[in-house]
Amino acid sequence: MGLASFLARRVVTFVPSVIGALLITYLIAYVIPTDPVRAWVGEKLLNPETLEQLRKEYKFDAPWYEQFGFLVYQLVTGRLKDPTRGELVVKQVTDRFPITVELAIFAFAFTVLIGIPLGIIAAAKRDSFADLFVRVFALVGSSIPGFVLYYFLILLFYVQVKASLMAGVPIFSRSCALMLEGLREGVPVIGYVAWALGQVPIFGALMCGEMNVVSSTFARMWLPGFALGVLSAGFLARVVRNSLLDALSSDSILFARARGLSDMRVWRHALKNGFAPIVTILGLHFAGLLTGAIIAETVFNIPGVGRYIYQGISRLNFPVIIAGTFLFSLVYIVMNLVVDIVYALIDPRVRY
Amino acid sequence: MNILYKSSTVLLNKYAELRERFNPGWLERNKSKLQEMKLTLYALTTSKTGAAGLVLVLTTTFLALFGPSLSWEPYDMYPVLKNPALAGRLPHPPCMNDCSGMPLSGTDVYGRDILSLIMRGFRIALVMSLIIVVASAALGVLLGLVSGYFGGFIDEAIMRFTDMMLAFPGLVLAIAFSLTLRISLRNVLISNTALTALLAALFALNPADAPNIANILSLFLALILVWWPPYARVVRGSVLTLREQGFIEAARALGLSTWRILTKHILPNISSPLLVMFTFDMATAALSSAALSFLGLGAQPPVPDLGLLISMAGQYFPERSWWIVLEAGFALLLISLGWNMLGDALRDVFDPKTRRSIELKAKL
Repeated sequence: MGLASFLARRVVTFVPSVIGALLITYLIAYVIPTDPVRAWVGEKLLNPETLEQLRKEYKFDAPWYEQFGFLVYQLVTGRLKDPTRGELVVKQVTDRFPITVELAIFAFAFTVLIGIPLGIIAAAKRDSFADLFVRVFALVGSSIPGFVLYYFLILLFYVQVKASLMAGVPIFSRSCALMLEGLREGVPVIGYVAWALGQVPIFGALMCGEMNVVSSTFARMWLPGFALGVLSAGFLARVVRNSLLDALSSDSILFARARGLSDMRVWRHALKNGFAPIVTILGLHFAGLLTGAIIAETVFNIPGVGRYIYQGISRLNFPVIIAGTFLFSLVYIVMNLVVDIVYALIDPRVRY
Repeated sequence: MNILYKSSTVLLNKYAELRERFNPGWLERNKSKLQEMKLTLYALTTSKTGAAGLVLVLTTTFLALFGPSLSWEPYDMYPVLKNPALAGRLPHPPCMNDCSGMPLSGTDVYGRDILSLIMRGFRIALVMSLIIVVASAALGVLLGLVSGYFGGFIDEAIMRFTDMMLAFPGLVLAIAFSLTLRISLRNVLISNTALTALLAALFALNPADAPNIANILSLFLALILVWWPPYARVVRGSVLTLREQGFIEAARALGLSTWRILTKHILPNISSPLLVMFTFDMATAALSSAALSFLGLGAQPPVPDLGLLISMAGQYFPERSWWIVLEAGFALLLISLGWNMLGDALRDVFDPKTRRSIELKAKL
């Protein structure tokens, strides 16, 4: 059983779950007792002909399964249009998703950089001040409402200290975008991967060497990233601590100590064993950041995909709802896959 | 700390006396149970997190019960309408001296006193999370018990459904549900004045504000719908191991009814992890419902919902509304911190690994 067959099996099983997810969200949206087309157009601009045309175009005159099939087919072939903006949904999402990814990367980096060292220190010096600090940090972190912390940090760092810039997401230059396009056309697989990575503004700027874009991205994104990341850092530290303490109290560590291995070596074993469960949590956490940053995007005014989909849901915009569900289930499935692969890499007991 | 323990044991003793009076012999039969409860209370009140959490929970519960009657302004009045000269000066920041009628805690954009609104906000936040957690725990526990105890096809059907619910991002699903429910609930409430009056009394709102009550109702029904699956999972898992044990087989051999076995023999054995989960969930539910009303899904102005207050303040942030965000945010923090601390302490108290050392300490 190699990696290839494992991947193939995963792809085969993920098709029905994506379709199931799409179907359920579609049905939830479908049973809402209101006229979606009216909500798209808005009460003020009520033109009967436009309404009729939209209704025909999005198959509101056909049975639900036909409409569902139509929406999914259009989505998969990339022709689905957002009726409220008149643009392709796929384009709207691919324009916004890289920005959400950028925010998620910043937040994730803060969570990991704060959470893991704190957890290791707390486990090494059990019942010390550091341990108490982690406990309090985790408690407060899970008790603060996210949006209050975001506003508080804006007040502190933007208004008072002026250590952060707020508006906008810096994007690399036009020539850089063309270069990335060229890469996609020119080099097979690797070029495509590079192009996809380059869609995230900070990666694209790094590839083109546009350092001013990189630095201004840091100046603008560190605060939202920190705000989003710090809340989970306490929780992560607590999980790392408990997991490491479990690993340290296992028989294998006792045996390693008995054999007279140095502290360094013992800790290396403990870290390797203790980190397996943490990988799962981190993977799901990253998926959560990619799908659930609606509030942070609203407060920090970041034009990410979460807000777009939230607006789509609240206006019963079927194409956006379907595309959003598709994206979110894809994110969860890919993250689960990454977690499984990383798991197998760090833990030799796991087989594909 | 000792005051907490003493007062809680006095309460417990009074309760036992009461039961004894109506039902002689009760005390004798439940002696060990009472002893156990006292030990738990002792462990809880002597740990720092537990005592602090208990104090916070009691304080916020007190505010939720009496806050609306203690608050000095009705929530649906607009000083700015009575006194148009105010319009340019609102929202007014907190003021210490020379206030000319402006409150110490600052006002919102309508000129209402923020502190008075927050006193009412405790009621909405706590009643909402209590309903969410109690209802979804009841639903989840029932489904988990049935699924775990009967097994077979029922188990398969319930668990696949649970898995499906767990696979979705909860926030997105709750948004969709609350929008779905909102419109139909509005019609239900308009035709049913008794229900409207009951809900208005629960949330300390004006019964005339039926559309807003429907909004709140749709919000917490949506959260209940996405909240129960973890309970079903946990309960099913514990039931699966309990089911195979001797005392359940004995109960079955005695010919006890299934309902009695489930409620009297299985449920008490899984109650402590459930209690811990329940306590943590009170905090999470308060935060989640506030987050959804922050996004504009729950109540609309003038309802004094804490999340809504913050979201309204967000429009003028930061120069003209920082005090609203800080005050309402602090109130929310008190609620969730209290329940989280209590849950943290309860988890330690019920943890079999630490239980022995706590018992030893109590007996010394």
